[in-house]
Amino acid sequence: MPLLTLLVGQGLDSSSALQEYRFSQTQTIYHDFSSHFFSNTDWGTGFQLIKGNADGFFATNDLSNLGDELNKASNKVITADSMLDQVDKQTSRLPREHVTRYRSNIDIRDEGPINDNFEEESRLLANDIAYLLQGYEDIRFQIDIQGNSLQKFYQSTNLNEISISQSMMLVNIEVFNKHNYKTRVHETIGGISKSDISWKELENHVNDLLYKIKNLVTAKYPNPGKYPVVLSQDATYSLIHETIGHACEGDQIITNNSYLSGLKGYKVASPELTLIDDPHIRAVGWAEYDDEGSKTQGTIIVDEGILSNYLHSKKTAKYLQETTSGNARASSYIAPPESRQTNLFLEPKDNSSEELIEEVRDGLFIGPTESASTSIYTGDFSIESQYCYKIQNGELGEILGSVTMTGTSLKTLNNIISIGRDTKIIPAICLKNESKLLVGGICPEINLSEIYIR
Amino acid sequence: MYSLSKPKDVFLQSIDNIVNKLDKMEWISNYEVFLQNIDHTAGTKENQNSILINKKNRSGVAIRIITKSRRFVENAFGTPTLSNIDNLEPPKSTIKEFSKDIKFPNLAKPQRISILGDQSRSLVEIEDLIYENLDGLKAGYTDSGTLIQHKYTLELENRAITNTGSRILFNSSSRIHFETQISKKRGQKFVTLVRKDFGRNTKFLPQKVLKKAEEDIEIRFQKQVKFDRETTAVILHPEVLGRIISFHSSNYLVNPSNIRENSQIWNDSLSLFDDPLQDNGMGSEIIDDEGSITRVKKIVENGYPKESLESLQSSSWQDGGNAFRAEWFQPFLRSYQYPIQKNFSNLMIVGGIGKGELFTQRSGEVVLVKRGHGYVGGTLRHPYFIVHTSEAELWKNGNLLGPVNNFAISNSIDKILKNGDLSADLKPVIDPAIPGSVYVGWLYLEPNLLKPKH
Repeated sequence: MPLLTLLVGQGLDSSSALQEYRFSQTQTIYHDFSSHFFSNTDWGTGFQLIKGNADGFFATNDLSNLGDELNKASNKVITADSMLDQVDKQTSRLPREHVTRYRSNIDIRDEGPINDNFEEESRLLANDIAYLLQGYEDIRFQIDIQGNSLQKFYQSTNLNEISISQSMMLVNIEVFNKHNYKTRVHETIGGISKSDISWKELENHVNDLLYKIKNLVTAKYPNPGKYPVVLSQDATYSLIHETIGHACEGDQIITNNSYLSGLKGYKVASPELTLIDDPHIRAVGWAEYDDEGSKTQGTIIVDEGILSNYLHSKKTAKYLQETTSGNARASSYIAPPESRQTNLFLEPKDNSSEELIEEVRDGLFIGPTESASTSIYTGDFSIESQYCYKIQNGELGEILGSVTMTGTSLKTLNNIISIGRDTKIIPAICLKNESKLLVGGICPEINLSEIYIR
Repeated sequence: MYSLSKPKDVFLQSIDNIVNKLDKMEWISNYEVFLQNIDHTAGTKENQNSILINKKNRSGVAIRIITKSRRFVENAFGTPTLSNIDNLEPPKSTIKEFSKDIKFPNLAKPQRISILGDQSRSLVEIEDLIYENLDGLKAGYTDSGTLIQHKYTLELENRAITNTGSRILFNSSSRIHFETQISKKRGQKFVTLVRKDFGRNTKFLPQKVLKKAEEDIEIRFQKQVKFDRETTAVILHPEVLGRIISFHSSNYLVNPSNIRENSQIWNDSLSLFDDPLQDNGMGSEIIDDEGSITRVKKIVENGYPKESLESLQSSSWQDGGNAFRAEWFQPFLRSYQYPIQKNFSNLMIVGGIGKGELFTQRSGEVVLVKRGHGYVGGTLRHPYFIVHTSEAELWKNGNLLGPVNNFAISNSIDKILKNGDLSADLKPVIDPAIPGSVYVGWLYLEPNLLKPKH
């Protein structure tokens, strides 16, 4: 443990180091076939320093003066108390967690996208997609292909050593009208290796995007008001991720920031809804270990409408006297791990898409999300879709322009009346505080009895 | 300059070394080098006697290259990986990016050489000043069970920028952000609010922020009052209006041609400036991340869209001043790790009349929306906002009647800025999703302009 030896004799109870080597490349190609290639290479280490209930963090990509900097940081930690010390003086020093000593080495890079030829391969792939899109008047497009290769090495004074090498690839295709860039549609597909992205799938998405953009130019907008709706898989993921996922993250719970604080064991959604955070699904939120060295696990967040578990890091679990769920994720070596979602799996039911639409009769089918925003504190949310469809007499009607769904979480989650059977794997970029992570979703379509549409 | 992790001469030596390497690469036509070091220290005061620290240091370089084959590539390297520059190779693709030879323009020396923030002190000295400021500040659980937490963030940045044939421009600056969060129990739930202070120097006032937070949370515990949605006027506090303006500006107004030429969008007394030279502005810079000298730009003049914000790339190498290397959707988070994007620096909306607080003294009942969470969306011609209030209170003839239940409001952004009354007193607003500060007044809206939606 060469890095952790710098912390010997500093008076800490325990410490850990997460060393990360990151290599990411992004190939962008535009409608005129001009392109931009960006690559980023970095290597750094983040140290977690723990004394009693207090913790500190120091991260750097410059190893000069590391010993001095760690010394200064440790001195701050060993004299600090945390709010945990105030909760109950009698039990403030919670029992030390069971020390699991293990050494693990996982390498899935062989399947990964990054290699010496990534620049050329991504350029060829982007060109192939661009050829499908070229030649249409009034259409502009941008294709981004991003590949990441990541090597993480985690060590702790609990004698854990974990080495993980992994990769990720995302393809984003955005098509817009040249006279009005807000008339646009986009689709992102991705996975943890190249084999997760098929040409057939890309081709289908391109054809679908072209169809949508052509029809959206003259599309009408529905009047604001309350509608029964069917949410597409992407829209379902946005709703679930924003309203339940973030609100269940342990740091939001212990700081009383979440509208779900204190509601564990209570009914928060329709009995139709069962939601699991599952890092073992093959999607971009995949992880065998979290960034605190804990083995990851599936966590049932909502069980038939009942809020069952929060998503914990070691610190937030300790505060609530629970055990970590293995959800401590760091956006990079530079940020301390915090409670984050991995892949959200919404349990599908038996309804086909046609049955869901038939059930709504007259309402709207909400398409993929443009962007979303939530207040964790109040549970209020707004989700803007790229487009929607009219549902008339139980059938899908004309395409309509972008709409914003807005409402309060508890009411909306209780408005779920049916869940579909066909799921889609969704890669998404999640922003929280100042850190960005990739998260995944496996979601079916759902029916909401009512939601306000702007 | 600030005494950062590295002395200035060592810092500039690194850029000289990089330039020497690039000069020897025969396949390069011309290049731009951006070198950056960021020291970031944050602390959380969870109880009276100690601060939990979170310190980061990172440095690296971003290099943009135009090749002799007219291709454009961009690479970023964290300091430990700088040796990889030796392995830079010409892009493999033979497709030309530019139809003609493009060169980075020679960098001019900015007239203003003073750098924002207090530069007379070292990082350690500034940290000590912060600790002094926080010493004795009430924190942790009070006897009544209220939880008070304080957070500060100090960021010191050094940048050096050069390109082929240009001198090296050097710049350093600092930013400090402070916030107090109070959570007070009401029944089984908590009422939480956050108050902030920020600036380019250490003159933040934690005691004042705490006092304001304590006063405001007491208002939340007064008896709630009801109001008539049809007949009540609404005042948007700068904290609410500032966010609406900033997101609207990021999405639409940075490219006024996207709106519609020669058409009035706002009241003809209102103008919107991008002002990078505000002394205490969080987005203030004398040069941007391409080395272009920044200047004040008039985005909206007397109600009409006017000037666009540009980077070298967006203006086809003709203009600049608004190019920053920032995280996607987190423009406040800047780093060599990200490609150039176009951002505003500080926004300032002028042309209002009177003092905002006096709006509460107008006759009749008025709801003051002090904080909220929301979304800015819609189309180019019909941009709209949705705000879910989290702190709103009812006033009548200058008297506070009490807090009101949370509600949602929504309308066209252009419509409220065409017909509302804006105050002349400007308050700076910041947010992680805003690149700099937004200076904006209070906005009074007659009942028929904004009917609150429950």
